[in-house]
Amino acid sequence: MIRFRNVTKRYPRTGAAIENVTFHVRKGEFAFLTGHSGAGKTTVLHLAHFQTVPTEGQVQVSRYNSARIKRRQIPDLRRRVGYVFQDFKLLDQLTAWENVAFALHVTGTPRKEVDARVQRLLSQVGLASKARSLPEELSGGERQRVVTARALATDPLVLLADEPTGNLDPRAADGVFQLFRTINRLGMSVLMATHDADLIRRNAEIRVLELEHGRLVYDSEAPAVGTELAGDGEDSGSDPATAPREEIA
Amino acid sequence: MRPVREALASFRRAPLLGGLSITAIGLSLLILGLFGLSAHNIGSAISDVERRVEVVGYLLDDVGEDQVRVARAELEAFPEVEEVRYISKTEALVNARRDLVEFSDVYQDLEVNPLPASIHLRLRPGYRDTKSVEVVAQRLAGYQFIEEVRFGEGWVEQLFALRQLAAGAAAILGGAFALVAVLLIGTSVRMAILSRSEEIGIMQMVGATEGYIQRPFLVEGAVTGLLGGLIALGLMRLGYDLLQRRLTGFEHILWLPETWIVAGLLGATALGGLAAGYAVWRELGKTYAI
Repeated sequence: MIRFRNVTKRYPRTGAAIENVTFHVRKGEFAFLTGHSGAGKTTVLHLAHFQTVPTEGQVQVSRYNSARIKRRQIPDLRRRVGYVFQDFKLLDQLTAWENVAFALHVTGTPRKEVDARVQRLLSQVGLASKARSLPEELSGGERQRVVTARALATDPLVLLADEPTGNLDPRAADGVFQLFRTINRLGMSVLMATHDADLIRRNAEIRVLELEHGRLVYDSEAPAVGTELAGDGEDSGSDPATAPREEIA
Repeated sequence: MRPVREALASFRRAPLLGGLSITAIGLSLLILGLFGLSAHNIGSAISDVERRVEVVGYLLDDVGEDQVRVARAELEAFPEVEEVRYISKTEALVNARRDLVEFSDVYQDLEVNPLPASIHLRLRPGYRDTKSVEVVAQRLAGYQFIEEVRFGEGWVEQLFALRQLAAGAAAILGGAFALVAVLLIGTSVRMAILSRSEEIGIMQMVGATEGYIQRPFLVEGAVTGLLGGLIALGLMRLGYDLLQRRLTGFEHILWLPETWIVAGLLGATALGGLAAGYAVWRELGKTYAI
């Protein structure tokens, strides 16, 4: 689903953000991406969302490969990869309902389908009762749920979350995390960046990828860091356009 | 309809910015339009002179009427020739007496008509350049009964050079002012993009296509170009009418042909759309990194 092969990303001024990173998150898998601030977590997520391209190596997300993807294919990729930001990135002048509907409108969902889908998405994240609230009227946890509903609007195959609980109190953080777990159980791959050691400790069954100074120093499932994982080819070459959507609905 | 609705909403959101852009583009296009008006009048004056370009063949005295008739038919069949006129010796004398009043006494006392008959060829538009005139002159000179051919060699060349110069100047200045308009529209659209960068960023993140994001800006650019063109046209017409009333001699100055006006407005609209398209394509490209 998400495959990094010897990926290095260097910036002209700051040098390497990540170096020679190799890992594979399989279809339906949940993985934590952890490390200190500046370790390269956000860079990994940006690369997986094709917000930037590797300097060396290749990133493969579903059938899209960073070495071959065309600019016009990126919107299609982004519909299949939901992204949850730590700082929400909601449109302040729109209600929770409208923020979710916005994602549906701009990706060409027929107008008559929008209302029903927004209703379903907000119910899924437990926020149906706050549909008419503006972001400023919502708590941090509630805003993160709106962001999650928006990220799910295009029925993605993968959810990338960049410190989604970083700005939340423990109770709200746990609520958002449990939401991600539920989404994952429905079949969606989730790669969640976090530096919350307690959260990782409490969920020891979840795979952990740890970055340090841009290098992958620990993978709880890998036999040795920096080598390719075995048995990871189940989704290679598959066309997400033909994948059953019910599994994440 | 969404692109139009959003483009209009953008003007409502930032009326000052939109108004300034339209005015600046209008002024730029006004200069372009004034140059167009000058070019049209210069072109018209040159065409007037060009219409008078004639190739004249003077005939020997003993040429028979049949020979002239056959030659006329052949000359009329030349693709370059628009009109063939034959002026007999007698007509030439009548014309001379009429046109050259100061020599009327000389022409009154003649016992023998010294003026030759002549064939005058007027050329079609597109064949009034030096090369075509020379080709026709050579062909006319090829007839045995033609004694001499004249076509004002020197001034035909100068006329052609003048037209080339006018066309070159029009292209350079027109291109320069069109570039100014493109830069203004591009800047205006970039500012509109920046003012909506948060919204556009989210659109890109959730997978809106570039076309979907671009269309309102294309419409905005096209509308800006069109409104700028209309302002330029209105100001020009206002100035033209004012000068027509106030300045003697200005009545000879021609207004722009309708086809030029329509082409100008369409051009301004297209220019606006293209400038906006390029600007938005570049701005969006920065976040795609591909």
